Amino acid sequence: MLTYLTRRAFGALWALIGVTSVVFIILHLTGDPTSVMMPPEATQAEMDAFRHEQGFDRPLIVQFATFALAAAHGDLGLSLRHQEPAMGLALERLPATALLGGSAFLIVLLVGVPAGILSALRPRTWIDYAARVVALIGQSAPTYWIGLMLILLFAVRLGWAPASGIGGWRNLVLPAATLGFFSTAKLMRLTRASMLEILGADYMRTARAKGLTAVRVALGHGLRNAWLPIVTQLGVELGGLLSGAIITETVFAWPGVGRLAVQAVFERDFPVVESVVLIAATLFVLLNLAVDLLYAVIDPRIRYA
Amino acid sequence: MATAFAGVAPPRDDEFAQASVHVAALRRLARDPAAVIGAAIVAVVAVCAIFAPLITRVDPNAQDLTATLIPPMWIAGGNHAHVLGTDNLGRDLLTRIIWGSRVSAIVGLSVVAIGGTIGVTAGLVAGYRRGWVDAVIARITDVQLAFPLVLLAVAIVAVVGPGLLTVIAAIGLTSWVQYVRVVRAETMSLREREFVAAAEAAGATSRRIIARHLLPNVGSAVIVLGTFEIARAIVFESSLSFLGLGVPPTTPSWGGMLADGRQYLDTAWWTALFPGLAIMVAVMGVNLLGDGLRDALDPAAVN
Amino acid sequence: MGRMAPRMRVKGVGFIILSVLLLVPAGPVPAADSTVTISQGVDADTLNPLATTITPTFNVVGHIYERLADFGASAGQYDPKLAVSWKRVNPTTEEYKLRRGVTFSNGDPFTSADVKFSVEWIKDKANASGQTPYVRFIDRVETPDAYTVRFVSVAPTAIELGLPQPIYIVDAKYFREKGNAYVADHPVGTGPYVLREWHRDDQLVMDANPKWWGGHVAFEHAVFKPIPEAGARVAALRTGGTDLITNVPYQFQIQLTGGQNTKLVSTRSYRQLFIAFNTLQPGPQQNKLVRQAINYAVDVPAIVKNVLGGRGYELSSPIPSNYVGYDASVPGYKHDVAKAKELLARAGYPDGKGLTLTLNAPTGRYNRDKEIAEAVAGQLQAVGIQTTVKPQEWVAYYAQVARRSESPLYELGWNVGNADADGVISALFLSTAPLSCYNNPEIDRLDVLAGREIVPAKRKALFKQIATILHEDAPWIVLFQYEDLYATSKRVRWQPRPDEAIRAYEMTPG
Repeated sequence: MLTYLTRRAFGALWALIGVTSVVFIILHLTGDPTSVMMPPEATQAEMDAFRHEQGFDRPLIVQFATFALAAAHGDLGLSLRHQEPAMGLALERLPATALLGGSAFLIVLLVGVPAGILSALRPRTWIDYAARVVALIGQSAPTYWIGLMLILLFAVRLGWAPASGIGGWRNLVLPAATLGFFSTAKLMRLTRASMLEILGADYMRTARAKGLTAVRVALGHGLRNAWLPIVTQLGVELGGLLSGAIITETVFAWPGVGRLAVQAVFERDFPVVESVVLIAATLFVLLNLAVDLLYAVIDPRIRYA
Repeated sequence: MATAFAGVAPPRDDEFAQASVHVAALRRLARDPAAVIGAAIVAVVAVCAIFAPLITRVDPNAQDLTATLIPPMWIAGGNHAHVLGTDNLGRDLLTRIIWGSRVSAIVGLSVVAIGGTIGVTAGLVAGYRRGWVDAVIARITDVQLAFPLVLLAVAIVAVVGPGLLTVIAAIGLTSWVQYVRVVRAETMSLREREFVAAAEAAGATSRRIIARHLLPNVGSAVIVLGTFEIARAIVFESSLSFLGLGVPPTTPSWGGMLADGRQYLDTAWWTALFPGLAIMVAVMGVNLLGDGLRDALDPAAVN
Repeated sequence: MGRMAPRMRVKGVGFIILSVLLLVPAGPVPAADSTVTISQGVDADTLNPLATTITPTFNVVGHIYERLADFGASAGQYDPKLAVSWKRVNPTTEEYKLRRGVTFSNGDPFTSADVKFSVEWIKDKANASGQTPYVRFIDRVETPDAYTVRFVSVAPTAIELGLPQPIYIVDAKYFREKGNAYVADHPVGTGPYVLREWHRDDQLVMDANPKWWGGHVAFEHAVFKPIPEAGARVAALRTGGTDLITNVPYQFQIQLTGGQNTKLVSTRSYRQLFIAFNTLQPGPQQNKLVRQAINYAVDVPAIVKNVLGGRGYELSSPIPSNYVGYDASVPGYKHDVAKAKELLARAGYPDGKGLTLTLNAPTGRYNRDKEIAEAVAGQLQAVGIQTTVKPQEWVAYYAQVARRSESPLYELGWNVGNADADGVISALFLSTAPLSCYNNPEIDRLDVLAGREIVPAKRKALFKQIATILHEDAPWIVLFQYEDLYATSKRVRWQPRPDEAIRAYEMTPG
């Protein structure tokens, strides 16, 4: 177990180093932010002087070495636009994204899984068909379009919920539903398929023959056995929610990490982008590890060595 | 994703058996109503994409500044000249939606070609060779997976500048990793089979084994995955357009239309509704077809 | 609680959960009737007024910090702020008398040393401020006494050195003691408001500064609540979530004018939008006849009417009519398809045959930027010129423009805060300016003269000469000036300014 964890830790470290390096190089190829940091009437000489002062005119490899050295010490530098520590700015937004992602995940868990079970228990009924149609729409429509349509219906037409910003739970409903829709659909389908498979298995027939009700059979025996793929998928989806938050936060003006990242890319605020990517990659790696370890808990046959 | 493909199609090495498997699969596909609907939608999109200039005589870029934001014909203020209404520059929405299928089709297919080629090759090599090659590919895969894809694509577009080719490259370069995972897993189980051992014993080169014996046997899994990747690419393209990084507006695309329509959500909802519906229906068609293919190629699976 | 200190190094799940709990209630909400809420598209990037160059940030820091003078209601006018009077001592020296008895919100007195420090902070390379172009002509700042400041310029200039630039005055002692990172979000100024709290991209709350020299403000609290989506801004205003919104999309005009609690306010902006020909790169755009033909082909009034909802002003010259230096006798191009076709034929492109152009444009930078480019392309198409629009995100686009490599056509907006013609000519037509893709020694020569000319009438004559040459040579497609559209709730009375400035202390209950 310990060797397994060590190996995973090294793998994770490598992934983080790789990701930050790739980001650094691609980002610096996109040009530097001088033009957004200087007023438009700046002359060429003034822009050159500014570039020199910021070090944007140094060879990429030198800039990278400087960055890597500082980053190794946990210092990702000052945000170019905000003149404050970039990591601090990113961490400051994390709670908002966690709130949004967490709420969306709850929707996935509390809607996706039960709907999938229900749909499997009552195949070919209107519940089943309705669930499958909703799942199909959720898997096919672009996230941001769902968001726009929810805004159109609930914010513009009905005025039930605000279209943007952060605040009470009313602000949270639309973006969380938008962000969670795709994953809910996926989970619904997966749960349904897993349950159908289990329900068709021999030991389930035996259980039913022993006189247990269908629901008790399903929840007692079926779900326990269907858990493994569902948990795997939940882990994948949680990672996906973080990445989906980039678009959702932009649509709903949610002050989270994703919106910060998009702004920072457009403004070439390199340290901020690095910080966000590092946070996202770290979360992703940790999540994967957590899912793998959870396997071992759920399915005692799996052992890591 | 990988779990869904474990055990797809039993490996065969003789071509006759393989062909009969495919014929059987097609028969199963034709009996699946959902898959038939999906195939029909895909066919309609394909027809639009190929024959756009014949279906509609209107120039998709023809503007009429005196007829902007006209509602669909069944709503007061609409007229028959513009069935789905017009956009903010007085261009006919229906015409642009028909033409927009081209971008989606081109992006979807090209992305699968790029991502599939890179991913399948890497997956085959990693799964067959193992050792350091596998390790290196696995490490690159780890990095790619830990990367927020949207940000990566945004950065690529920013480096190269916008355009259809950039969009295809940006999405293609983020899609290969799915194939690697599936193909590598498949290959690793295949290489333990007798027919690979037999080929090796007969002195076949590893290139030949990969091309002649392994590639055909991962085909089913790749076809299914590729279908879903087409759907993903279409949505991804529209997301890039939404962020203002898509194809130029003189090339009509669903994502671009939707991005334009977004600012008229309150006053001219049709400009945002119909392009989005087009994306949704097209992607749904591809997804249904993908589901059908998966079931047809793997008769043992439930559902 | 105030906003979290950026350098907080706490990590872990507990931190996140705690922060989520703390994030939702954003402090005590001030009483509604004494509060005005303002919604721009973006939040301030920093609260250090010497480190930013963008208008939305100036609009925030302009409540906390002050300048020597603000722009007045029309071109060439100034409202005294921290300076009470100024005069030119000699061709290279201006003297400013400062307001007495002013203190910063931390109690430090305001003196000439603070003015000197502020200019020098910008000039100090180590601070890497983007504002260096604002002080480029200032050679040094002298402080003969605590309430007198002298700006000495490198060469004689027609424009007052201390005025047109947005140089906000900071507390020298406080800046030196606390350092740049700290002052970026702990502002201390002389202005009518002080910062209460700032949750980035959510809201920034300010309270009236009881010690302000200007006396009482109508609204005790000013809140900046950024809302990026224009439609969402309108929705927030209509539901009472905010009191003033910027950049109102034209299609909302009717709704907001007739709204129960809303009203539309607008003013003619100093900002113009134009499309330049890159005359430095080879191509048909180097042919003057082609450039003139295209100017005739574009129907600006139709664009203003249909794309801007009528909220724009067709221009006849790169020097707009509300600028110092405008001359009404210089002709412009009127929409004339026949004339355009005739010129095209003379240039060797009958019916536009063989003429294929790319029109480069930014997206999301100026109001309707991409759509205007598309509309212009549509009109060029109408006279037979094949035109493709290539929109790009701002930073990548602007880098290309500044490298003079966007060609043959590129769209750009321009706003000169003091509405002086020199701000247009020297930045956009001089052969040495990075944003100019035009090289005409005669224009270079005339602009140098205009820059030094102190007698207004002679200066105006020089600009007339310039405008006449530019009309004939047509290095731009001259388009229009925007009308800036704002909307407010009926509880607020406010008149917008042409320089895009928004100040809560200029508002009164409606």
